[in-house]
Amino acid sequence: MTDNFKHKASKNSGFTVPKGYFDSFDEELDAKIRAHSFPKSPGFNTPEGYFKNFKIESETKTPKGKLIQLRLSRFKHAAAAAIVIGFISTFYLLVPSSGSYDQLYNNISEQEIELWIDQNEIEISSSDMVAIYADDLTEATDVLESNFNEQTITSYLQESSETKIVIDEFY
Amino acid sequence: MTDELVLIKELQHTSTKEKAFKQLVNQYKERLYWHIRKIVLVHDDTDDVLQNTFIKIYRNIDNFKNESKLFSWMYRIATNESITYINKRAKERDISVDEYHQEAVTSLADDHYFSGDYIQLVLQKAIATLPQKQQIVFNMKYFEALKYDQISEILDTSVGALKASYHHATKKIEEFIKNHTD
Repeated sequence: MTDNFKHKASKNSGFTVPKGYFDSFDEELDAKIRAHSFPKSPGFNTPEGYFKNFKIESETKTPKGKLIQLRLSRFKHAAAAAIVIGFISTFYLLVPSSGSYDQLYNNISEQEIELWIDQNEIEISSSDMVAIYADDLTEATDVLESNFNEQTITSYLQESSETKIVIDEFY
Repeated sequence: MTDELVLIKELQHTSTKEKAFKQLVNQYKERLYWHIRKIVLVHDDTDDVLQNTFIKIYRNIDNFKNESKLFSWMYRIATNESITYINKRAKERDISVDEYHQEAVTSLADDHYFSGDYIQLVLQKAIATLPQKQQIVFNMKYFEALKYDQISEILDTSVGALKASYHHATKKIEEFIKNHTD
């Protein structure tokens, strides 16, 4: 930098500070540090002698299996209800009583049955399900296993008066 | 053991920390203030940055490993705090850092705490045209008269790169002043 400029500008940058700024700086900084300081302890306490008497409970108790709550789906509810009704019906038919089956059946609401199922652990096996819905499953299997060719479908549609209109609209 | 090592030991010991920190603040507040002021230009902003710098020093003094001089370590914190402050303010106002510097230097003429003459104002305007790191190097070398070794330790930049940076800075400043004073 040229000597001329150095002389003109000198090392004084021209900046100044408010009067007494550096004298009061320490106090302001101190206050700010205190305001920014957080206690090391979070303030939580434990009951007296807690750590002294602490022992792991699982060592003193017999281990238990994990309890998994059975949440029945709507389908399972219906199946379970059918099994229960079937069971009650059988019992009712084998053991004659003064009331009729219809009376007994009508007196038990669906909600009561579902509540009873919820409160009692009832296991419904796959074979139970198949037994109850055997007819429905058979029909579904029939449809899935059938081989329909284009000709069969067209002739079916042509035979049906309701679908004929739809076909005409497409062609 | 040197005075600085004694001070560091006291700063890192719980029972002596408060007293040693007061001593540290007293010893360095003015030097750090002027270092920061040259970067951020406005007194109130400088005050904020200086306080933040000392708060950082207070909180992190336990992590100081004596790998550099305490003075260099504090200068580095002050420099980083100043740059962070400027970048944050520029972002808040949705302007670039260069634009921020230009606005800040333009407002100097009306700044109550700037009593520089015309040539000093032009010098500040010239510095504001430099890239941020060149500004810092120029200020540290020209105004604060720090040695290249010291600047190198503070900015973690080689002496050669600093010399080149300062050389470029002075050339640009001279050119700027030539165009604005004749």
